[in-house]
Amino acid sequence: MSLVLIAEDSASIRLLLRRRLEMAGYDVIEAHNGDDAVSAIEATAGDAAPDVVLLDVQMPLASGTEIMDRIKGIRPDLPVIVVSGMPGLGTSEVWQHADGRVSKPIDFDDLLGQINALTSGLPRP
Amino acid sequence: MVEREHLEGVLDHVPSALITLDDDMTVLYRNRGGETLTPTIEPGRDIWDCLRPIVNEEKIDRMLLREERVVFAARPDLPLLEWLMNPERLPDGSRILMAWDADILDEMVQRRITFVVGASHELRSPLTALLGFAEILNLEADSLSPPQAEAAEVILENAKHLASLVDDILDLTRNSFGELRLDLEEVDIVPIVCSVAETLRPQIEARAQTLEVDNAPDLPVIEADAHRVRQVAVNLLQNAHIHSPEGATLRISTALEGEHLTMTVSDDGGGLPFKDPEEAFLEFERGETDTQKRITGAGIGLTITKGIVDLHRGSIAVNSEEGVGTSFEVSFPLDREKARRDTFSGSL
Repeated sequence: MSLVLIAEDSASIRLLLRRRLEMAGYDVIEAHNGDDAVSAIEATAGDAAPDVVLLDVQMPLASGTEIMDRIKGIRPDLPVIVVSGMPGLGTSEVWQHADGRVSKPIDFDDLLGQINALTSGLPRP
Repeated sequence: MVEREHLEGVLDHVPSALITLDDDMTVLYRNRGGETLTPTIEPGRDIWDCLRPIVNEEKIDRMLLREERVVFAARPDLPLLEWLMNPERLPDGSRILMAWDADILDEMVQRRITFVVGASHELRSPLTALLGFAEILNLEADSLSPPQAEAAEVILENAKHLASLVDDILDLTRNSFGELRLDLEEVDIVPIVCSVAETLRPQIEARAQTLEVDNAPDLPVIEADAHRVRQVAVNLLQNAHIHSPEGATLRISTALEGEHLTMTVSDDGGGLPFKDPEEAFLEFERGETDTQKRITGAGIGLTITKGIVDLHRGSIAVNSEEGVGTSFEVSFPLDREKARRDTFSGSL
């Protein structure tokens, strides 16, 4: 099954995303901030490498735009779905350039549909 | 002639900008204050063309068509101004637009917007977790005891309600300061109405109410914000559902009426709990019987609905009779541009 990297600073929302994604049959790895997410992408390859990233665009340390640029610099093909508590305000650039987008509170039918669309056709079983 | 010179001398010493406009929105006159404060608004030009490069269209609509006070600078390097269109016409039919320094006011407005936007963002994270886990509990309701499953359902319902309140308060604040914007595209209203009806049908039928949907065939598309049109349909239908008794019939319909496309939501319930139905559009206004019957709702849904319809240059009318029912008719112009000109030169 596809592997999803969750980059989210709130422990409750990381747990929520993990539960819902695992219920839908996805494997999950977690990052607590943008830097950790970038490190996780740099450190993994093959089966251990994520197929899609869920990126909270309002996390401490670095801006969502910066993190997305760094992710795309390492793996331009890796789809990034941005998660925002305030779409259209301050996050418009990253919001526009993302491969997918969901706003909080999260509509999981929508999110799972987007992940499925972005990961279907991948070689991973 | 002496009188005219005297008058112009007086106008030039008023420390505000005074601008007059004719029926076609052409700038006729600008006093000396206007030369300093609003140099971008030049006599002989269309006021709309002067304003469009400096301020969003929704704000221009609020100022010129709805005669509301708005705040913006005539150029980024110039002071912030408060603008107001005088509703009275001069004897020759022209209108007066006034603008004056608004620095202090703007700072207060900005603080309030920043506060509400920040608060709404801060509330959204815990809400996401609350709502998300409540959904998980409901998905796994089979493994809960009946009282636990019932509790999980109540938590979910209330978390959803809280989420929509946070959205509404943000929309209301943006709207009251002219910061609510439309994302315009060509919109077919019929699929939106159908989708809203099907989304709300389960909760409507759960109270033994009947829902009728009636769309006129071959309706043209309108220039609108699809997400906001949906919000209008949801607010009106939800409102009819909540305020009608069990067994009531609710109806949502669309039609073409002259140069407008209408969406009507009606019910055969108890009528609105207001002496004047227009009161329903006021912020946080709830009828007495609402409070008595403990009907939930903050009384802001209809205020936002009216704000959204106004932004579309449309109108909303309400008819309500005790014991007969209530009907809200929203009217969207087929041609927004024409609606703008008609409203400006229209009925005053």
